[in-house]
Formats: sequence, C-alpha cells, structure tokens
Amino acid sequence: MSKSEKKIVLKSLDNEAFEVEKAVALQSQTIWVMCEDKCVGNEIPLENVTGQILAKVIDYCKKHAVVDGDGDESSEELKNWDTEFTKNMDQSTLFNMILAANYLNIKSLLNLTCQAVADKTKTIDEFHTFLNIENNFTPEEEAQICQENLWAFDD
Amino acid sequence: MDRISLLSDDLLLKILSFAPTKVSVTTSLLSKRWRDLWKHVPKLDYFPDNDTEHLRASSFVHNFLLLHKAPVLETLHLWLRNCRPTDIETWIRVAIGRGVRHIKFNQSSTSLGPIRWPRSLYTCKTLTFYLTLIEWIGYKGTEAEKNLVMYLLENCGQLKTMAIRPLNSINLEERHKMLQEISFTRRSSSKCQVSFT
Repeated sequence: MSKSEKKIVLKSLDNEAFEVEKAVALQSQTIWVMCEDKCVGNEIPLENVTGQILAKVIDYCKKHAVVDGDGDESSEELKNWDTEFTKNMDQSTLFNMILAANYLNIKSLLNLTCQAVADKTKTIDEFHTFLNIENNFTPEEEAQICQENLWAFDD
Repeated sequence: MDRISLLSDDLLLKILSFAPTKVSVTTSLLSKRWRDLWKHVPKLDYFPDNDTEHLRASSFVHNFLLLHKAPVLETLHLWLRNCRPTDIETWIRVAIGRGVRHIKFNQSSTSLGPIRWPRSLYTCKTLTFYLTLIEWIGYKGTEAEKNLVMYLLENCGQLKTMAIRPLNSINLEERHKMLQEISFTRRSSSKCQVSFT
C-alpha cells in the first residue's frame, strides 16, 4: 500500500504510460498542484506532451531527484550531465522540451533548454537555420532596421 | 508555419535572456515578430570582444537603455574599458530606476578616472530591496569603493552574494586588509555570502 502511494503514473498525449516515483514527478509544479488538489487519481494525463518527450523529461527529473537527495554530492557532475543531456538534441526535440518544461512548470529544465537554444544560435544565419524562421521583411524594412540599430551591428 | 511560432513571446524572451545583448539585438532582423522583441529582454549584458567594440561601448549602452522597454531591467552586466565615469554613473542610475537586481561590473584599470557612484545608489529603495547579487571585478579598494561595499552590505536585505575580485596588481597583504575591513561590516541580509578572490 505505502509503496504504491509513492508511485505515480504519467500518461502522455499518445497514451504511453510511465510509472515513476512521486518525488521524481513532483519536480513539476503542474503535477504537484494536480496532486495537491487531489483532482486526479494515481494516473495523471498529460495532454500536451508526447511519450518520446515525456521519457526525456523523466530522465531529467530522475537525475535531478537523485542528486538533490544526496545533498550537494556533485553539482559539477550534474552540470556536466545537463550539458550532455541537451548537447545532441535536434532542433525539434529541443523546442518540444521547452514546451513541455513550460507546461509542466519545471523551472530548471526550462532554463536549461532555453540556454541550449541560445548557445546554438549566435549569428543571424544560425538563428534563421536553427529556428527555421522565414524573413518576411521587404528590403526597405530591413534597411530601416539596420539603420535604427546601427549602433549594435557589426559593419 | 515555422516551429518556433509555437513558442509564446514569453518563451522567446526567455531564450533571448540567455544570449548576450549584442546577439539579442541582431534578432531584430529575423522577421516582423522578432523586430522589437529584444527591447523587452530584462537584461543588459555587454562584453566587447575587440577594440572596435570597446570603442563603441558607450554608444551601445546609451542606445540600449534609450530603446529598452521591459518594465524591469533585472540584470546589468558591463565589461568596459575607457568609458567616461560620468556615463557609467548615468547608466547605473537608469538601471536602478528600473529595479536592477543583479549588477556585474568590470571597468578595467585603464579607465579615465574614478567612478563617482551615483547618490541614488545610496538612497534608492528598489536597489537595496531587490539587489541579490553583486560581482565587482577590478576592485581597487579606494575609500569610495569601500564605503559603497559597506553601504550595500548594511542595507541590502535580500543580498545573497557579494563577490569582490580585486585587481591583480593588489598584493596579498593589501588584499588581507581589504577583506578584514569588509568582513567586519554588519550585514543586513543573514544569507549574504561575501567572497574575495
């Protein structure tokens, strides 16, 4: 009985179920509030997150729950783990992770994933490519912005 | 639809807040949606990479502060060389007016003269209330600098970190004396850590 109360089932958008320790899941403020309100049973449906992304989010929460539990065992190690965690994520995964972290309200994961996007995009070309943004300015508008922000741009 | 369109402006601002300000300003050229986003990032983080950028640092900071539209400027990180002390005073005053919480400041030793820290630093309620982190790089230990550090320790109730990095040219004995003077100061915030390295 007590053992099962410690576990919680998270169900993704595509109906994949993950059984995790409550302590792991409660790093999400959204899940925490749901559990507090007792508006859900032992199974929590997460309608905005796919199984593929939820699995990654759970990996992150597991890692952070363990290390936090061991006191300040090694914040250096955790930092390295975080770097590795986002290093090889492609653009689409990274965006979905940002959306998931935002929806689940896991502040540290949101910071980590936003930082990862910022780290991968340093120049205007990288922004266009990585973020897949279409330039919808007319040449005149673009020239005007260049003029306005001349103080900030390289020659 | 590009994928980034799924992200709200708040999330885009969050991403931009991890980029240096010179990068975030260039995003104005991405698309209509991005044109004015950078003006709402609550952070000014400017570190020049080369001499040319150092030369235009004053103009950069001036323009940024004029165009900036976020209600709060949470973070002010400036790495400067040869900027006029009166300019720096003005920038810090503006930042205080916008409720700055983090100040990280590096004025290299070739500066044109001592900075007179603005009086508003001593009277401003928002600063002493909100400031949680101060990192002072290139600390020389002048009377004015020491007074300011002591004032901030005595008055900033939320301060968590006061990191002082003295100039390399200051020898061990002088450092020791500076540290002693500072560490005896009463701290208004019980959580405040002072580091001196």
